[in-house]
Amino acid sequence: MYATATVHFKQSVDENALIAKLATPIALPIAIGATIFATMPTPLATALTATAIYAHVGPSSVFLLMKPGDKQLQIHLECVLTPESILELKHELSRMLLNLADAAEASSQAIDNVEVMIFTHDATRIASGRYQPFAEIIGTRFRDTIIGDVLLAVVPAATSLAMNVEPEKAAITFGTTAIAVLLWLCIEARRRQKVLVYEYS
Amino acid sequence: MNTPNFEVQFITRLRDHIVSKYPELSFSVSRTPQQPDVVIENTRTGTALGVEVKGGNSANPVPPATIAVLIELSAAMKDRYPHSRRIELWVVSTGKVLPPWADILANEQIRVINADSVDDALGKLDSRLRALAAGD
Repeated sequence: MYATATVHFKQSVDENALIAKLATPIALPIAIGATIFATMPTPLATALTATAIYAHVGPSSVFLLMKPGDKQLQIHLECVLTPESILELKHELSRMLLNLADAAEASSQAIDNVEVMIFTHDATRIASGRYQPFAEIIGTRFRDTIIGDVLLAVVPAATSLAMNVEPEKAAITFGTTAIAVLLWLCIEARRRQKVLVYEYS
Repeated sequence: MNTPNFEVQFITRLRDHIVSKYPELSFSVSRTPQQPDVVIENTRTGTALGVEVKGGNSANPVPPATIAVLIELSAAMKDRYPHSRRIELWVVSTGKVLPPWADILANEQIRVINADSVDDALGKLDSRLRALAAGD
């Protein structure tokens, strides 16, 4: 089982600046030797060695980075300790993408979106996922919790009115609660932007 | 273009297309990973055409691991049939196959159709199907 991820950047990606922020690389032939490519035909391994721009071998996973386009990076990831565990692979993929996103941020490069796919060894796709855009997270979250959000703003305002507090104070209570809810939504959406959402698995 | 069901849609349409236009060809869907998704045969000439379908987002290039599997698939397909028969593997992909991998596939005589949609893929494969039905 292995995972691939395509990371789309907003601008042309400076791979050297990005790699400088990642963990110390491992020599490509060593990393490739620990992957499914080790048993593949020689031309493929040779082409891969020429194409890959970074490799890392961790305690439980091996990771290759390629640059297929000006604004794209492609990742190949395998778990070497538990090669058939999809949970472990998803976990490693999330962790590695977070590292990459942090490296991109540290080198002032903006990631537009990330799409991932998980395959069995015979290249059958068994899961696919992506990072959700900010607007989509806000939209989904808003639709899911609109009733609760409205109640959160309306109930204190209605209570203020019922308790014979001035309408101005009730309006201020409603307004400030609404702003707090909106801020909360934005903070949460920002955090969830770096969470992989699997569309089917 | 995001096409999570591209494989299923394409194989269904390909089956209907062959049944209606080329009844002389046999069509079978593979149930094992060692064979292409679809095998189309001209039983009169013995020529077999394997079709492997790779869907997904067209903005994402085909990963190198998939290229490796296609090479293995082509070899397995050739091993499975008697050497006297002509065997071809065609790959229908929504994602781009980048130059180093495209060259490797070409060396292995694996043909690649890069398609935007099911109709596009069927249109591009049709000339080969016509030739196959005619005995080529």
